[in-house]
Amino acid sequence: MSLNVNRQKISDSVYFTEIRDSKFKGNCISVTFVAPLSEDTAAKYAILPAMLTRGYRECPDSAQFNRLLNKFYGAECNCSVAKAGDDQLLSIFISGIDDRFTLENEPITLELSKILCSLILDPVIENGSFSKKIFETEKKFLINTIKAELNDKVAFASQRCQQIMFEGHPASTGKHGSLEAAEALDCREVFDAYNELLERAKIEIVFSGCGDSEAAKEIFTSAFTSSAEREKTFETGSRAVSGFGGIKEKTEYYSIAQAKLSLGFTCQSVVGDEDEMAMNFMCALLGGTPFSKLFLNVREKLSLCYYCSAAYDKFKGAIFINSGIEKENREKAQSEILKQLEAIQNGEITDEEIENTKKLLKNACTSVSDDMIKIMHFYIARLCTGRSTSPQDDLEAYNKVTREDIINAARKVALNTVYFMAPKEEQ
Amino acid sequence: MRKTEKNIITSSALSESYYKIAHKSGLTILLYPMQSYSSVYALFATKFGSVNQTFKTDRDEDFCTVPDGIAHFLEHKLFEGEKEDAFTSYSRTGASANAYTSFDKTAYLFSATDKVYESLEILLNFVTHPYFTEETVNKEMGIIGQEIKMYEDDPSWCVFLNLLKALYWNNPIKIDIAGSTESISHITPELLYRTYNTFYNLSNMVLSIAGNIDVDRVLELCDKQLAECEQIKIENKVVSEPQDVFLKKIEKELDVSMPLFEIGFKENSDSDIMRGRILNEMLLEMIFGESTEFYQRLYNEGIINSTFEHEVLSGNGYLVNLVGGESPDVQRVYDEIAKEVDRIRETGLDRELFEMVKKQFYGNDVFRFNSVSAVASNMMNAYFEGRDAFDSLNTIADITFEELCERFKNQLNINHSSISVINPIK
Repeated sequence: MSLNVNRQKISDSVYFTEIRDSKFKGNCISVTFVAPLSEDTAAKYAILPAMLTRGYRECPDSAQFNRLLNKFYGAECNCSVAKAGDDQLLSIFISGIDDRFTLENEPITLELSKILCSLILDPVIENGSFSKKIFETEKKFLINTIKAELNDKVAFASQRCQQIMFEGHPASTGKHGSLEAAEALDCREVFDAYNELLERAKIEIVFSGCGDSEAAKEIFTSAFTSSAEREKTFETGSRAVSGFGGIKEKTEYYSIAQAKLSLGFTCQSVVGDEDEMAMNFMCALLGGTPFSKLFLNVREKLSLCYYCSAAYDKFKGAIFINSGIEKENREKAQSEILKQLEAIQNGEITDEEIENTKKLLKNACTSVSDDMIKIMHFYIARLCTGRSTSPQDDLEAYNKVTREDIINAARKVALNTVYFMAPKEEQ
Repeated sequence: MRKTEKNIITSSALSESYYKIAHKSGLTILLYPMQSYSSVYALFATKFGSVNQTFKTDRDEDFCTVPDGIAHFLEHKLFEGEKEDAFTSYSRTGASANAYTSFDKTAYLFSATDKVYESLEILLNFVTHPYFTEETVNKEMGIIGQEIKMYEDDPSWCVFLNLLKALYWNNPIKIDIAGSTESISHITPELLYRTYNTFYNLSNMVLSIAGNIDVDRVLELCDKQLAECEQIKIENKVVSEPQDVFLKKIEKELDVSMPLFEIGFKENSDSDIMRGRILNEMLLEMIFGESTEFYQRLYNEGIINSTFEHEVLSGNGYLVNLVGGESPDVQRVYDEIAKEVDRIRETGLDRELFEMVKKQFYGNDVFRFNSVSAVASNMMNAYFEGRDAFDSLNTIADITFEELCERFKNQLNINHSSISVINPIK
């Protein structure tokens, strides 16, 4: 089902995109700042979404702010810090049920739009800067968040592999910045970074849901045109990782029950390249479905693991394959993974595999339109690269991918980094 | 021969309705047509999870006790067929398929935008046709062994499961859903068949589908695929469980940056599981939610962070109020929680906050009808609680401040609480 998308520039580098569908029962609105990722600024920017969602000038008390959201039928306000290649994405979201489901016809959507604007443009200010108290609390939490990346070993192993592979690129910086940078944060500097972000970041506002987006658009338009001068927008975008310099190998030891193997490959295809969709297709066929080569062989045939999957980083032109295994099975798993990639490179794929993968990709594209939150995230990810193509466009692109395209894509893939997280007693 | 009976369940608040069908096979079918959506989400589930450890049917002489993790193991193995596995079948329809096992249910699901009825046929077919052999059972040991190990490294899962081990003496809720590498090694095809033949009886199951469906076509397919089930009565062995907790505190070390904690209050379970759960969720939100001074004070002091959460775990024979998160000073959080409960016992609950929380719950419940997956899950969960999907909306509207105050009197007794902590490795 095709989506009804309307995108409009409301100020210099500020865009308002609405995707509306009357079948939904609520609305969500997001504001995303796109900035270049750098060791210098990552932590300063990363603390902002959390600080800004604590309250705003007219409602500075967090408990009161949450009560206000409760009153609006449990509206939710949250934030995220993400990485898209060499860029950092800072988002604040607000969502609630549509006005027509309220008990007294309250104009919730309008109120939530106003609140979101205030959170971003009208924060709690003390002596010409952010509230010291809020800053100190959130600084502590940012430090903890960075330290806590270690807790999720599945994600952490994959993250370590990326850091090693992207060495020398902005993308090697963690999405929250480094621990040192977080520990060195200063309230005044963070306030300056906030102002810089308001002036220079590209801003994508996405409205997804069933309600009246006109009123929301007016609020954002007047708020953002009357705010800061926005002429010197940041240069954003990513640089592909190259394959020179041989294979990097690294083993690290942790107190864990299960070893993790993470393989990083270069693939030389990035966003906007002609073979971008073919690369994504190849990646799904290799390790993105329960009938993919990795699933059927590494897991089902050899029983080496519970998960073994491939993911395409279209920003950096890289592919990552992650798996959790017994430490003794490292060689066996690695050689089987490489064998499956080689099989595709050698054209050992059946028409049925291609057709079936296509069907699953089609299902994924089509079902985006059934979930207003998925729609929002789809467009945030898409718009930050300057494109506004739809899931339907992806579907058509997948339909055009041929067997040769898949084989050619696979032939561009070369092993670059091997990261192994091993249980400690082995040291 | 039984007859198929169709009932319509309606919500006036949402102006929507769905079909609750007593199918002639013995299966209950819940169908929620959502024609403006392009996808369909289907769940075929049985009321069988890790808590069903010792059981018999009215045809068995004796109770049978199965190894820990068998429900989850069975879930994995059911995908295997004599000719081909279910994932291979689904690969031809393009459906995205999966399954999960919880404490009290096992659900097989797919989401599809195309070839919906073909996918439904696959779902109905593989779940009703078990195929277990020595060889396929052994093959699965390695895969599930790695799944268990993955969870052993997952601190938030460990802190939660450890808490249940501390709270309960005998209740099977304390058993790991996936079992252990040791326990699953005792699973045999025979045990799988006995378990299957008990719990995968259609009268113990439900088919819940939401999305772009044609009700008649679904029923036609069910008529074709589902044979009338034997009428059996399943008896789960009831264990006696003392009111006090097994251990006050349970600790474990893992490679984490800051201690994780989960505090549980062991409560008496309700006969009306849904109402009891909603009452407790409201209570926890009013005492520990982000809108409370308590939360904000501890947050500002850095004693808790945004991972601080509360939740209610409830089912047949168990009810736990949970509060958990990360903290540099777990003991302090525990003491503060005990103090706050005492304080509110003196001052009483906040009536104004109650009105807001009621609105919040109402809004959140409306959102549970916003996507096909949420709607199908909603219908299934309500059915297993002996209720209908819209009952939670009505229950929320119906709950009064007085009822909640009354409820509070016998909840959150610190003497019936345990704390589970995951500490960083020294």
